[in-house]
Amino acid sequence: MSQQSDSTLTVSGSGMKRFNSIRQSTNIVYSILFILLAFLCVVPVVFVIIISFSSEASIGKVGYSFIPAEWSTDAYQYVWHLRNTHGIPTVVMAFLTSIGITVVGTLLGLTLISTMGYVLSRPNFKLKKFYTFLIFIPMIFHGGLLSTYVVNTQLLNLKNTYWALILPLCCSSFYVIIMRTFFQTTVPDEIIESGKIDGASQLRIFVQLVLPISLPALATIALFLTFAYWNDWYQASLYIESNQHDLFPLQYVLVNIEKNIQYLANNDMAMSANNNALPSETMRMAIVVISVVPIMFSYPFFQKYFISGLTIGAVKG
Amino acid sequence: MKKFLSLFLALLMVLSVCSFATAESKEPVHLVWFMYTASETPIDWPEVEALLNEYSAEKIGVTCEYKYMDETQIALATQTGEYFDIAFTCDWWNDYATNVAAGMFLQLDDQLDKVPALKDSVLPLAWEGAKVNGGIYAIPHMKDIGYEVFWILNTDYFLNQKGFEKDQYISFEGIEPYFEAYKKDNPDDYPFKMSWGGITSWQNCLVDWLNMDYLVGLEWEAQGTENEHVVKSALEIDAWKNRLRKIHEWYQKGYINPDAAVTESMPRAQAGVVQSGQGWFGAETVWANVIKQPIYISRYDGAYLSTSSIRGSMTAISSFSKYPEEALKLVELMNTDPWYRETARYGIEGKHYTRNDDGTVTRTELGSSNMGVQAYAQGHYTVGALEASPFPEVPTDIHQWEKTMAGYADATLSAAMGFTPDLAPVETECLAIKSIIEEYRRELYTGTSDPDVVIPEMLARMNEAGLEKVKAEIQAQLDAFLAK
Repeated sequence: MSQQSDSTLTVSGSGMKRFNSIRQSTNIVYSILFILLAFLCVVPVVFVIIISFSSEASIGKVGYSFIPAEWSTDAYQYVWHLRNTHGIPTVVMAFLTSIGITVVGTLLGLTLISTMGYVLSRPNFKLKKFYTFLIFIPMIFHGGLLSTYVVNTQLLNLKNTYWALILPLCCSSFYVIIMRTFFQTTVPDEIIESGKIDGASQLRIFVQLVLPISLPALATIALFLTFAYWNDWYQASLYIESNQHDLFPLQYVLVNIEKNIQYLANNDMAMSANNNALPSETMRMAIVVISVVPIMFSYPFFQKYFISGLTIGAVKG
Repeated sequence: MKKFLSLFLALLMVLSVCSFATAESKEPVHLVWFMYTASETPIDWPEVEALLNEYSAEKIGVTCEYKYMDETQIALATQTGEYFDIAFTCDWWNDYATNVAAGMFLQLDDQLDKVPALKDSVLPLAWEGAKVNGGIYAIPHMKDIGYEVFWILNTDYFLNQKGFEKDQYISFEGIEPYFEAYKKDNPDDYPFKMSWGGITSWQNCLVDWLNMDYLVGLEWEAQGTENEHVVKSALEIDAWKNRLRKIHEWYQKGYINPDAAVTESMPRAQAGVVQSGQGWFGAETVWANVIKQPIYISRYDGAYLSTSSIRGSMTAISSFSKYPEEALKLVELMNTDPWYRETARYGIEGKHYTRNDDGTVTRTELGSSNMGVQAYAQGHYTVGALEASPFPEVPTDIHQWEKTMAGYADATLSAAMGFTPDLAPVETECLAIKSIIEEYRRELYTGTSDPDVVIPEMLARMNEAGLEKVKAEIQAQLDAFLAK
């Protein structure tokens, strides 16, 4: 057995290894297939980045192309030159706001979701049925925009605060159910019992025994939450009044720029000196790049938690 | 001693009454005004608002907070009962008819006598368009409130090169010599380029729309005759059909780009030497700024005034306002005081704009980027200075609004003024009609397909889908409305 326990990834070898491996030719076919698939996914992103760096005139001449007639950073310069009342570039302020909201929101969300999921997964929790019911209902029925708005503004007074951007998204029934199922299936009872025997409190068992082996699930939820917070602009459009420029997250600023471009393009009568050479096409691509690139770089950070969680064993023997 | 004491007490009483009287000097009343923005509040608005409030507090004892909202925000604000005194309203934002029906807006008929300057600033016939069930619930803004459609012609080519006379009123068919001249010089190019939408606003002066999506309305030509209240489909109106035949003729002669029906958009800057647009005499500065060439305009249709043209931009007072009189006074200030209007529209003099010798103003760079307001949503265009044309060959006419308003005296008024049909009972038929229109419109409006072939086909299909029922429903509603 020990000879075969080393990696079966090589094609050549003897006995069991050869039996489990695939032929050279099939390997090549599969590789080509996946390379093509990867290309199809990556090329459009590269294309968008290239377009965002071409000049508006080049778009007029040759349209969208991998090799623009003229390179320029006009679109980025336009976005950079938008300043708020203190002279700080709007995008920088919005970027920092978004990062703050994402980090706080993800941590808060993780805390709430994992604790709720853990509690629901314990078989000896007296109120388990009641709470599962309570959490399940919002998954199926939604109160509607108007009632949500009234609760958030008139009852909780969250208008024009950062909390209005964080709280509505931080806890989702669906993620609680995911965590509960994960804890039920992947965390062995033995661990928890061993903690109890050693006299640990419930909180200690959770934080020091259960959480470290649940990293894949936590990383998944954290990833979902990060994406949700980073991409969200809807909460801002509802709860932040349009004169609170300093509270705008990044996506909201970008959506506003886009709305402005649309408005100026569609209304001759919106006469303003802004009309001169608005880099509208390249601006759209620049906006995409600004929103996507940071999140693209955060994914590898999460990836290492997925892998490490999978290979850590917990129960020996 | 007693005498002295009683005198002293009497004096005290008098003094206390006096101090009461001086404490009466009022705090300025604070109002809330909901304003429209495409995206967000202009960045420098807070300091402009402070200046405006200083002025209005002194003049009429009122200060105001302007809240800029887009479509979603205003819908939520009005539906959840957020307090406001004044709001912008029109038929595409904070819908006027719906809000009146819900009782959100104050009826202004008796209140208007308290603000005579405001009442006089609005054209008498414009009040008709703002009426719902005979009551006035909003103040229409004096801007281009009628349909007037123009040819936009390249000055360099037509006046300078080809020596045409500058004609202010070229008819629709009368544009052909211009096409011919261009086509002769440039046989491979097209004088009249368009996208799939066809000629801009070509039909608004042929049909008095009751609903443009479904192509039903009254015939403008039938105004003043006994048939002026007959609801028709545009496909039954001769003027509409004749114009489409003309457009098809031009297409066949090569004046229109052959791929028009599949062209997604044709920005004015690329569209060529002849263009069409809906505007007013004075709009040439706006169009010149977009086209970036010297142009002159010539009217081929108009002016026609209807409910929808007047309701393009209005200001209403909330029926839940605690200070309706003060609110009206502020609206009056906005629409009659030049300084207030200019500051709300352009910003702070010197910082956001500079005044020119001919009475126009020019925005500075800071003004363009930090004071991007929708001027038509604030109030009248007829008060305050106008913006100088950024394009010197096409100067701003500072008397354009007086001329335009005077021009409306000869305008044709809609026979259905104040009427908006409720199409809920015939919704299915309407949607079917709309999909039929969508199928044919691109080729039809650009002249690609033959109207004599296509229109009978469309009409037959629409009749099958229930056009008669829709017309009957609207006719019944219209008759009931007119009977009142």
